[in-house]
Amino acid sequence: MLLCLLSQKGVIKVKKEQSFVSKLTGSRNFGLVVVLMIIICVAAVVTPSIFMPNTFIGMIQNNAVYGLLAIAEMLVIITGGIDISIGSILAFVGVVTTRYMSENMQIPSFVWILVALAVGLLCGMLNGLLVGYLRIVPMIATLGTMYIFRGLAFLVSKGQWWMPHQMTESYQLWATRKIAAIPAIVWILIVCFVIFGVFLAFTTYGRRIYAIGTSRESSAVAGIKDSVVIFRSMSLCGMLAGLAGMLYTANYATCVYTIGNSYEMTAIAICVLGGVSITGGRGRMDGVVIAFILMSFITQFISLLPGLSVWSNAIQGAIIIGAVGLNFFTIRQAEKRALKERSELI
Amino acid sequence: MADNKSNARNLKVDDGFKLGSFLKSWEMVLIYILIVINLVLIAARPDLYFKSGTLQSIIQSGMDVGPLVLGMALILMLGDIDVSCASVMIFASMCTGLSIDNGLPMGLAVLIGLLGGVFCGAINGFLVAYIGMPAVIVTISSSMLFRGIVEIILNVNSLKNFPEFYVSLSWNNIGGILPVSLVIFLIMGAVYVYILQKSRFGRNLYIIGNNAICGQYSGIDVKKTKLMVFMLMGFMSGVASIFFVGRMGGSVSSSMGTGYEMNAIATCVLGGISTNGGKGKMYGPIIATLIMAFLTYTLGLMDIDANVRKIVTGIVLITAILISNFRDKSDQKKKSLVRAKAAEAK
Amino acid sequence: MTAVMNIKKGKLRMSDYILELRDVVKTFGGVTALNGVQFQLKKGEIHALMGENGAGKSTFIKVITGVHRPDSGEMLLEGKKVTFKSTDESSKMGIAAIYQHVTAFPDLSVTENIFMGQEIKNGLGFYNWAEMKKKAKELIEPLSADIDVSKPMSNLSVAQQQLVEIAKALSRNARILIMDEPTASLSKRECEQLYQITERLRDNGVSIIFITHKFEDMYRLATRVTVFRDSQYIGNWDVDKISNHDLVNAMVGRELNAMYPEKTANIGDVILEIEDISKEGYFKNISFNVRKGEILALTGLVGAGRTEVCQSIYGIMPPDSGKIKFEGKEVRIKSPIDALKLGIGLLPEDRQTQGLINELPIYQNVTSADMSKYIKGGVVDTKAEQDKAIELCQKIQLKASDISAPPSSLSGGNQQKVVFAKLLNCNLKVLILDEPTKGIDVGAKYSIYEIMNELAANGYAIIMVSSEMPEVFGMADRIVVLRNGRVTGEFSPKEATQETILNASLLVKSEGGN
Repeated sequence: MLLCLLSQKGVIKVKKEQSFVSKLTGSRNFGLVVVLMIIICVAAVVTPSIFMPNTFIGMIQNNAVYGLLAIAEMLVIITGGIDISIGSILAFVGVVTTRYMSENMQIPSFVWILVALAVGLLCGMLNGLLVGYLRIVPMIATLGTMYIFRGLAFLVSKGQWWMPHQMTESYQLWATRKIAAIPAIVWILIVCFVIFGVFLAFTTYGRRIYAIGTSRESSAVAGIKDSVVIFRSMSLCGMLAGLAGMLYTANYATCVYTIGNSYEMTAIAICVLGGVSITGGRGRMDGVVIAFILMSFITQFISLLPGLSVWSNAIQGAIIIGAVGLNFFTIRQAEKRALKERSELI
Repeated sequence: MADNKSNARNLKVDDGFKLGSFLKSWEMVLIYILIVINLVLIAARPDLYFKSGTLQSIIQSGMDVGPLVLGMALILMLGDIDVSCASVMIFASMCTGLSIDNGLPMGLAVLIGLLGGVFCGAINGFLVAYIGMPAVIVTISSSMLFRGIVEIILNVNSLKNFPEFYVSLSWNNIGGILPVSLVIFLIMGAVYVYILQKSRFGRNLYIIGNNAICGQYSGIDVKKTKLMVFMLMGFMSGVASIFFVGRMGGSVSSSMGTGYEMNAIATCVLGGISTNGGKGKMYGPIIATLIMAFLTYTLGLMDIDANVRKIVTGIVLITAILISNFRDKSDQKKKSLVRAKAAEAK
Repeated sequence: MTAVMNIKKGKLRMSDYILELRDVVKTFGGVTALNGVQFQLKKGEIHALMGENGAGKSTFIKVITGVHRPDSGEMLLEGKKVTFKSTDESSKMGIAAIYQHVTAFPDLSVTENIFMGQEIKNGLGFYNWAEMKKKAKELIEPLSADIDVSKPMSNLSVAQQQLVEIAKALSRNARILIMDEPTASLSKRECEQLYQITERLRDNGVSIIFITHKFEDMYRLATRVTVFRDSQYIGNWDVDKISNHDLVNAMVGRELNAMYPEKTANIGDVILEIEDISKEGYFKNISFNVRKGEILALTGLVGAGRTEVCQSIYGIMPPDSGKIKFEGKEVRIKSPIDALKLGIGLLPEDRQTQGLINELPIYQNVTSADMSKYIKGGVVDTKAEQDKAIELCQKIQLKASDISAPPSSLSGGNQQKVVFAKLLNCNLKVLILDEPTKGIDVGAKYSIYEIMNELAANGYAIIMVSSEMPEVFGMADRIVVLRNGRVTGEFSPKEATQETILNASLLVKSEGGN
């Protein structure tokens, strides 16, 4: 912001400023990396077992659902919106696929992936319709649909609880089958990270998401319709949340309509931790991947310490405040440095 | 809005209360909705409706979220949001419960609970106002932190020693007719109406919510005001803990009260407070709190499951927003027409 | 009307005009924004479009680019009738607009900014970065050599960002380019650069509509000028055939005898002394003082640090060092609250974001900076508030019918008056006015000047920041010039000439690199 102001005054020499800006962009994940380093060091001393390949993969497997939701949330946050219904979408889709799978075990299991994507997409489209076309504030629109999807999840499940024996093996294998010693759910997560990373960075469509998040007005002038972009982002977000729902039930081999409660908060937290600006227009996939690993690491680390599992929420909360605060601090410092550089010119 | 119109004067002083616009104001619409719900209830279950105690228990069921609604209205007025208030409420309950367990006198214990709430609010407020972090991020993570602290301290236990008046406040009626909780809620509501509609502090909130920069230039201490609003929210979370614990029959555990923050936000929005800040009046959320209580209870009477009721809540919320958006638009059109006519007349 | 049209039709040869608008009407919910507007643009000319704010220029552009559709009238492109439903369609026909406020994506690269909305992509929707960068370079280099197309837009100065906008227009093969007040926030030198580029574009066959407030722009560039007033077409002239005086009359619609009202104030004692204040990154060792009843002009180029000095004195960003003395006593102003308590008020540069709250009624705006008078028993006395607001608004002759309407319903000049009323509501002794007439039309300026003179006569000390030389000379009792964050001279308007002021503003090594 400040930089923008300064340069508008046209006083700074452009070359000096550029080197500084690149420094600033370089340090956007600064706080995050520092925290990750500290945690790794502590973990190395206290619980070295965390670095065993199996533990590490298990850790990613356990948290993969959060990773998928974080990608979903990221697509929406970059447009300048927010989607707090993804936890409910996860539950709704999970219940839908689990129930109909358990009732129709003869149907090949890949069908359920498609069903999950389709139902998730529909949920997302509803959000997109409300926010993109009917212009309801994203927070409120998705607060409403959060209630609706959670209620639908209950309706479809009739309050039932599904156990592993009610699930076909091939369904569960969508999450648990090991390919090159790595479970399928982790592969899917990795593929999604790559696909959406590329999507956001290199495709016309992805870049327009940033454009909308930066400035609606400028986008309109450039001939980009914000309603379309928001509709599609939120639809994609719903689709990913749907995928996460099906994989959740496959991975844990249980399902009940209460799953995924407040997962959206964790997803938002991962995004913000990963440098996605809550006001839109900024954020890269690499940052989100690091933040995801950090969050998984913390959860895993805590669970390895006997009797500390209750600390999980408090520590996660403290770390997000700390990391985001640290980022703010570094930005302030950078601004101060910029002012000093400017002073030399006066 | 209605109030402004009724106070409208030309430069030549043309005063007059306009009944038409008053009857069409959002607050009146809410009252109509409240009446309609009551009529539906009377038509559907006349036996129950007129049975003594029914109305009282309907109202009582909605009062525990009331203090949160009042606090939240001011937060939304600033254009901020607080999703940590439910966690703060549990935190405050824990403060009181632990104090009593440790043999402190009752009055002191209650005070400690309230101060616990204020303390949490102050942390949120400090990070939002003085560090400049976005309120969503701060409160999502502080929500994890505060609930996390309760989890650490209580683990899976629950606190059972609370002052007896907690339960009686939530369940008793004055003279067997008037619910104590309603009286207290209305008194608090009146105080909040004073704060927002009548006091200088309230005017400052409108100014900051609409244009914080202009507020700063007009000599308002924006940061301090924000901090105070968050502390007030914390205090109200402390007050809510009294009713909440009372409703729960005098016990509390770390997993209770999730989702209360969303209910509070939804009620405020239904009450006509804009999440963008600076718009709405205090009367709206107060009426909306009653609407939510009646709505939930009516649906309950119709044997609709609590989870399915969520669907209705969601739909009501979204419809309310759509209607108020639509009203705003047609209002603007009308105003520009009037202006055009005035211009022609000149 | 039809008769006029027929005559015109008979007279002109169609191919002369690349763009022609006939009798265009546009209303918004009953408000007429364009009322039977005519316009002809010749191939390869620079055509100035002038008029006061609110004359309908902005709507006019939006009709041409297809943002709005006219209610009636027709638009001819090279003699053929066209209607545009969106900006997409107009840009396909070679019409591009550069808006007053740069509409850029600050975080995205220059390349992306140029191609946003019409990206070069492969079949899968992927960016063709290499191709885009190459093309962007080809477009930018002739305009300015030191813009790096892969750096984010936010690294550029306003002038450079405008060049990117021009490149964007060129990338869409614009044949008609509309520039909406492009020189409004540029320094002299940047203007000159822009003039040259505009001329080069014209020489390459682009027809340009140049909207501006500044006569210099028009004289320097345009061959013809069209004037709008009150949503209506007033006329068009060859620039060299119309006098300055006639043009002003055409714009204002009345004779402006005296541009600046007579001053009547007696200058008294020094009330505010600024001694050696510095703020890292903005200005160094600034000293000046101001007396009761005096209007002190603070001038210099945009970006010289004038606004920042004002904000420092007002406590928005307190100085790092130096002294501020108020009525002889040293004071510390840490925030606007302190400043207002002392009696120092600021009329901010950007009235939309800093001065007004467009969602609240006028009377609440007026009282917002000092509510203490209207609190009775802890309750805001709305009646007293409104009475006082009415009194103040009448004093400054606010043209409004209803003080419970929002300020957004007023014209720019009247909005500024609301901010004045807001300052008058406080017990002030020193007024800092940052560009008090910025974006205000000629007629309304005069009444602002009258207000200023009256305030000075009532003993207020006024510090006026201004970029307009005539205004500085017409209003000020003393002139302080800033350049690049330092005071470079103090002059009396009687002794100094525009040239001496300009020299002080530019001086030796001038501003930075661009």
